[in-house]
Order: sequence, then structure tokens, then C-alpha cells
Amino acid sequence: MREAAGLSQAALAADLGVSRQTINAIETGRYDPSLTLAVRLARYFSRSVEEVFHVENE
Amino acid sequence: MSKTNEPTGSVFARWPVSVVNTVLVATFLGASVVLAVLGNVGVALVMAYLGLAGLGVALYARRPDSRDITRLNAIEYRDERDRSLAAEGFAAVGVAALIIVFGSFIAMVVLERFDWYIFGILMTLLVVWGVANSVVVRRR
Repeated sequence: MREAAGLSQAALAADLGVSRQTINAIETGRYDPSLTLAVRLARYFSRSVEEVFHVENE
Repeated sequence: MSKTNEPTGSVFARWPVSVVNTVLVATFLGASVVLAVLGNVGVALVMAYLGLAGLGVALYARRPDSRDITRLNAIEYRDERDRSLAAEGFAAVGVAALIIVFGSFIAMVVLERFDWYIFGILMTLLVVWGVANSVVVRRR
């Protein structure tokens, strides 16, 4: 989604006010963002949270 | 909901270093001035050096392309992940402190060498632990 928008991790991080490492950690599944950041990410790409994040049923 | 950024309306949002580092640097530089006035110039210079070095480390960690480990070590958190990682790090420090002091307390009892200092630290850590637990359960 980020790459499709032609954004680097650093550019997205700067737009959202977080670190590049945070974007990388979210993309690689090492960090689950807060609900606030998840919603902000979804709004940034004009998508719903469910479209941006995939949660598997346990 | 948790905040991702520092509050933008706050003075500290534009401050070049974190509140913690501001206090630390001010303490070292303030102590340096007091020591210089009291005539202890050597220690005053050491304190001034430590304060300025701390300021330099904080400013270095504040760069836009700084590494996360650099920010954590410098107490210059940029976002919620930094703060979450820092909380885990400090929690590990707390566990280590409890284990070390409890071990010292047991050794003190076994060796029959009572030390109010060790006893006081153990009691303080236990109180801090209890207060911290009650604070966090109220928050969430």
C-alpha cells in the first residue's frame, strides 16, 4: 500500500509523526500499533482499518 | 486513546530535548555553578562536562534519521513504539534491581550483618512496585 503510493518508509513516517523504524516494525509484523496510530494510518491511505491491518482469528 | 506524538500545543513540543534530559542537563550545569562558587573548580568542570555531554547525546539522538536504540539510550522518545520499548527496558531494570537487592537482603540475613541501607532500598522498591501497580491498573 505504501509502495503503491510511491512513499518511502521515511516519508510516511514523517507524515505521520513517527519514526521510520516504527513504520518498518509495523510492516514486518514486529510491532502492533496503538488504535490511534492504526486509525491514522488507515485514514492516511483513505482505507478502513480492516483493509490496512489483517488480524487472523485465533 | 494513546497519543502518538508529543502534544503540539506544548512548549516542550518545540523544545530541542526531552523534559527528562532538560532536567538532567540543568541539574548538572546548576551543580557545576554551585561547586565553582564554592571553590571546587575541578569537580565543577567535571559536572559541566557531564551536563554538556548529556546535552550533546540528546541532540544527537533527536536527529530525524537517528536509530531507535540511540533514542532509547538517550531518553529521547519520538513515538509510541519508542515509549513502549523504553517501558519494557525500564521494567527489566526494575526486576533486576529487585532481584539484586533481595539477594543482598538474604545474604545480609544469612551472614547476620544487618544493614539499614539495604533494608531501606528493598522496602522502597517494594513500595514503588506497589504504587506503580495501583497507578497502572487505574489507567487501563
